[in-house]
Amino acid sequence: MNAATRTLAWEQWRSGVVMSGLIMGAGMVVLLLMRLGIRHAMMDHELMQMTLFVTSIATIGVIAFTLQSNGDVDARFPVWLYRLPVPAKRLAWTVLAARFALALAALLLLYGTYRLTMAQAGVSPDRLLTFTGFVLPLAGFFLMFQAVIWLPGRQALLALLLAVMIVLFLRIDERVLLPALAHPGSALLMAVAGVALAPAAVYADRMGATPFAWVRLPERSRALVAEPDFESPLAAQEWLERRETSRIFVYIVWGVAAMLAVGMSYLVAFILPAQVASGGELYHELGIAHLIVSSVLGGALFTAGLTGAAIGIRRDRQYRSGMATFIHIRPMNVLGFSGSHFRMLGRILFDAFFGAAVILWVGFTLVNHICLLRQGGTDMAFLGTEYMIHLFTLPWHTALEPTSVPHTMALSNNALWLLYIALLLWILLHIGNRYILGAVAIYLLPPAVQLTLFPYAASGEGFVELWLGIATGIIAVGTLGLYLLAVRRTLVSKAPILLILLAGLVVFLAPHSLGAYEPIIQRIGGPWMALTLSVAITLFALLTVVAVPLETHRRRHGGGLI
Amino acid sequence: MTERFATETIFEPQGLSRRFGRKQALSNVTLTGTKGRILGLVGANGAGKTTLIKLLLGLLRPSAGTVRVFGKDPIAKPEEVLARIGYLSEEREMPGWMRIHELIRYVKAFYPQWDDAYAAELLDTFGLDLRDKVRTLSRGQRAKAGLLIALAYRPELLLLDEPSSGLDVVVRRDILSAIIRSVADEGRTVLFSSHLLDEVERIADDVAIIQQGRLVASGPLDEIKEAHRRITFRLPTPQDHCPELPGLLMSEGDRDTWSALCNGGHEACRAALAQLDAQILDESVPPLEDIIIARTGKTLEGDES
Repeated sequence: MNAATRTLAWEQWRSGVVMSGLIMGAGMVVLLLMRLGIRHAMMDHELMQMTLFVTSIATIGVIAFTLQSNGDVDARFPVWLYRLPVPAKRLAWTVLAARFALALAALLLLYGTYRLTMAQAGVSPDRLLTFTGFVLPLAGFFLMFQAVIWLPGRQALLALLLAVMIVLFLRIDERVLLPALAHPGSALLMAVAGVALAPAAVYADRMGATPFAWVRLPERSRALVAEPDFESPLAAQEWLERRETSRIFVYIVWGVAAMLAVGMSYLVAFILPAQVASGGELYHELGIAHLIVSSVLGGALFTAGLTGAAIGIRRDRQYRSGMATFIHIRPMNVLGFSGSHFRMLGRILFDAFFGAAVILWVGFTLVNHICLLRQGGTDMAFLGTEYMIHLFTLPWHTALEPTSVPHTMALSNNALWLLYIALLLWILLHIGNRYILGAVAIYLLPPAVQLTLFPYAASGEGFVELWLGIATGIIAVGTLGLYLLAVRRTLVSKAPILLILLAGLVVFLAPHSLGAYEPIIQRIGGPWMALTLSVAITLFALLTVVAVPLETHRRRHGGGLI
Repeated sequence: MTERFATETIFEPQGLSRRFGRKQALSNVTLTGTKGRILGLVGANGAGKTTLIKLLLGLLRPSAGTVRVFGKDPIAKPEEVLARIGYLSEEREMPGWMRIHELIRYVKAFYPQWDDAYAAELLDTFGLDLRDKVRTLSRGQRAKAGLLIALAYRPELLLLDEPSSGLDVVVRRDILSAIIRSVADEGRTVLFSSHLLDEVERIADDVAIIQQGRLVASGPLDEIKEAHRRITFRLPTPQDHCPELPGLLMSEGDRDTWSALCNGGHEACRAALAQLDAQILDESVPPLEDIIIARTGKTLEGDES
């Protein structure tokens, strides 16, 4: 290996090691916390859910690796490397190998933790995810996905890849498809394709190829007179914030919703009639479909909301690109900046949330109703109508999705909820806001360390319960201190704080009185645990409202708060 | 120069210091910017020019000392101070996705005094296309776009960080100089940093020379130049070293003929040379570049002299 190759590999390792640590650290913290749940008897479906969880977090990690932390699908090969006197082939393979080593290390770490965790639960090895069924396919996927991401015209290719996958999942029986994907041959095929494609991708990108330029739609004519002046600086700032962060996010959420609508329409229109024909009860089958839609929709939108919040709160992209100077020299105080920022955040979440709900409702409900009418005769149409009326409430359920958090939380072994926690952790870490990171660390690190070092200690659960109470107190005091500091610097107004306290009361504390926490109280014990969690979640929301202006103020003036 | 404005203080850093970790970027800088004058900030790369400008904007918090701009603290009252400042950054940071007309629309919203006619005139002068995206602009075009949005609301204080960087020679000599001059003639104040000394000599009323974070010299350009003399003389007997002269900053020679650059006390210098029976061959006001080299021991490109 010559000096240039070594330097390139070192640079990739250096820039990626923090990212890999964050992602996999978050996954492992969740796994370690799951030990609490594992001490209780696990049922088959819980094992399956845990497998789903591990696979999901690993897949997210692999995709995040290829996108190199900024979550941008346009994250091409590092352009500055093109200036080096190194041929494309060596550039591609060196960077690919360095990143692959990181991704593989992270995968192995996660897989090892998973195996240990399951072994502790007394699950026999043949029921675990196997090395060839987990690490190899994901490693192969990483190599292929990374090469595709480097290709010019990657967006079109990714869309094509996604379409092929959807068709595959819809058309081929999962009993055939999943073993085929998990076969070592598939992994090898993807790996070979990735390794072979990478130099060509880098070469084409270096030469400035634009393969799909001909399909680009004609630019909309934009005349200066066509757009009126902004009403106020706040409106201008909100517009900039929205254009900077949200458009792609909203489109992605809508796209996912549209794909879900198509997939679920297919399920109800073609699979359910077959199920009914083979003896299934229509209402029961529709009920299952509804449950799936609600779960998936709820999960997707809740995750989308968290991601949107993270995108909104995370500002270092602006700071990295030097945009901060452009923004911060405008004559506006931090109250104005953060106010327009939160308004933008509310707007994109509203657009994403309700846009997706409407797409799903229209796409799914109406299409299926027509299909049922055509295929099922009068009885089916009657039930279809009832079902459609039921689904009329979908947007409403979507709006109330956050209220289901305590209930979902109560199902502590639910894979979907575990995925939420993993994503939440990842997102919180990804935000990069020092106050939020500090609060996460205070909340989670001591229990994680305790559970890691003394997994069999009888006092373990008691310690976790006690610590979560103490941490909530510490965070409450810290949040109050930061709030007072922000008030002194006139960085926050009282309205959002009061709103959050009210929301905390309604969304988290009210279900407590309705008994939504009963399952978690029974499962973990400690009657005040649920209350602690509710307060902690409200505190995190409050902390965010205070932390964003504080961080904006600090960064605007080059550090320091006083 | 516009003498009628020359008494009102616009910005005033006092004992200003800024440290980045272990690096002292700016050390004990005291300076005054007066209304209607053009201050040229001169120094090598990394001397602390951009740090000083950012401290004036409130984009950095001083490690020590105070800053007042229009009599106010730019950190305590950013919106009041920044409303009266136009700033062109060295890196020309602007969102790459914006089109020129979007850029104008966004910036315009913050400044009620925005002058549409002047913006249109600048747009025409700079030859910018409203439909172009910032990311497709050349470095020079980005500088022009940055200048446009810094100038079009006629700010009372214009802070330009290396404004010539990326501009072609015609725009630099004719357009930029004319704009800066006209800004000052309207009673507004300009501070611009540059390492192009001919440009500073051509445009600036006042000059501040910074070296390694320290203010080496500052004051009206004419006075600074007048305070220095390059004296070329011949000694009666050749010497290996230039004789000690009052205010001597730099000397070069070939044992019998020497050229000395002195600061102040020209009479004393002449008297000292007379005592040595030296014959003065030439005496002139040195160019700014020679003064800076004599003061800092370096050229602005950082070469040791």
